[in-house]
Formats: sequence, structure tokens, C-alpha cells
Amino acid sequence: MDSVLRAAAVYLILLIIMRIAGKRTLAQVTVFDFILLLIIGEATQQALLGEDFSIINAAIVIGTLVLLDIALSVLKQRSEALDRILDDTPVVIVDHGKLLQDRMDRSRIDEQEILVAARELHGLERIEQIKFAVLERSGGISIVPAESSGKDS
Amino acid sequence: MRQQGSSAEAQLGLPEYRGHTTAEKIFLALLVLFILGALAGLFGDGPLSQSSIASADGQVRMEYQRFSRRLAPQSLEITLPTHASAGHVELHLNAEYLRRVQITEIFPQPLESTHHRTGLLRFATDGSGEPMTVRVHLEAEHAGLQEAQLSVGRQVVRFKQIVYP
Repeated sequence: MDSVLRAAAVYLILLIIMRIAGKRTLAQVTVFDFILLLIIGEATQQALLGEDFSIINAAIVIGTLVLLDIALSVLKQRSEALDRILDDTPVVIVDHGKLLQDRMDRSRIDEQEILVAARELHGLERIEQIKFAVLERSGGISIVPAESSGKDS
Repeated sequence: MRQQGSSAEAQLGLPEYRGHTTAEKIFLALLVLFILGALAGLFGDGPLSQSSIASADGQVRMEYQRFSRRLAPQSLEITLPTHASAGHVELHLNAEYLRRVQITEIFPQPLESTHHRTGLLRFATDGSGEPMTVRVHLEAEHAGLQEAQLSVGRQVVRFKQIVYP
């Protein structure tokens, strides 16, 4: 019983922390972000397993986490409000070549990151060549090129 | 709609979409049962696992976990009868059980602990004649069914534990 409750508590805590940290935490991770995630993993492991390193305890913890994740994804599918609360919504950050600075600031995105995505995905060079840039729920930036940019979308 | 889906899969060279297979449903149901079982204490601590047993005269009582896990902390809470005239009480645990577990802590500290044919723990009493409670913290070192016996004088308590790997 203790293992299931512990796993559920850790899942809830991580869910809240990751939601507060925002979409940029897991997408396009820097070296430091990566190290931070490893440290979080290490700290979480202790909280999940305690002093019990038995196989059955590991199975219970893994099973609880997977089941919670499945249950939450089903609930999110059924409730749009819950979906928005847990996963946020995609945010348009460039509209017809114009940077939407307040949204970028709130999402902690700078122009260079948008240009990186534009170059990588479509070989675009300038912001004006972008029709829309969207910060997706996954934390990645997707680009819709302007028709005049002469690139495929 | 179904026809359109099928043709798209055929064009992409993908297997036909079948939705959730029976196997997936069975595995999910088993996972739910497994976690519910864990919550109930079927694999360790929990209401189904917590058990108590007493000697024939009811003077020696013990609370223990019916189900435990290998190398996971667990405890035995033993209530022992004491006599006002005696300054100590002796508790015996069978050797086979002691071979299968690692005792990590005993509270209160025994005056003496020996391990020959059986394990002997001797505790000081306060002379009031009131029953005393001893808590033994331990870890099972081997998975499987283990049978144990503890005795105080002529009073014997036998119990079984299932230890999961």
C-alpha cells in the first residue's frame, strides 16, 4: 500500500513541478537542463523506493506510475478543461512575420530559438519569412513558412 | 470511415488497424488488479497483510505482516507477559527463522541476545507485572514461504509469512 501511495505522491509532485516549470523544460534541453533532469531522477528514485529494493516493489512503483499516466491521459481526452490545466495549450509566438513579444517573454522564448527552428525545419533565414511560429504543448517550436518565402510548408 | 482508414493503411504498407487487442485489455486489467492488490496489502504492508496472532492463553500476542518483501524493512510487535517477582522475561525465536532474516533493531534493547539452537532475547522488566511490548525490526533475506515460532516460557506462537522477491 505504501509503495502505491508513494508512487502516486511522487507522480503528482512531478506533474505540478513540470507544469510550473513550463514547456521549455523538456524540449531543446541544454546540458545543464539535462544534468538537472538527472538530479531530479536521482532524488525521485529515493522517494519512490525508500529502502525497499525488492523486485515486487519496483513492479508496484512502475505499475502505479504507468496506470496513473494512462488514467490521466483518458481523463484529459474526456475533459478539455483538465487537458488545458495539465498540458497547457499551443501558443502562437510569430504572427505573419511579427514577433509576439509578450507571449515569448511569458514562455521564455527568444528570437534566436525561433530562428533555429525556422532554419532546421524549413531553411528559413528571417522572421519575415515565417507566417506562424507555434510553441507546441510538447515544448517544440513548429513553423509555418510565409507563402512568399518560396519554401515548402 | 473504416474503409478510408483501411485504404490509408494499405497505401502506407501498415497493418490493418484493430483498436485495442484482447491481449492489451487483459494486460491492462491485470495491471489494475495488481495495483489494487498492492493497495490492499497483498504484496507487503496494507490491511490484508497486517495480521495478529496470540498464544493459547492469549498472554503472548504478536502483530506481523503476513506478506512481506525481500530486504524490505518490516517489524514484529510482540506483547509479552511479565511477572512482578521476575526481573526479566525471555523470548525465544526459532533458529530457522533467524537464518532467514536479518534483525536490524530491537526495542527495548535486550539485556542479552544469544543464538544457539534457538535465538534467545532476554529483556529487563520494570517489576510491575504489566505486559511489555517489544518491537523487532527486521528484513527477510530470502524469498518464499517462511514459518516461524516464538515462545515465552511454555506459551508458543507460530506464524507464516510469504516473502516476495
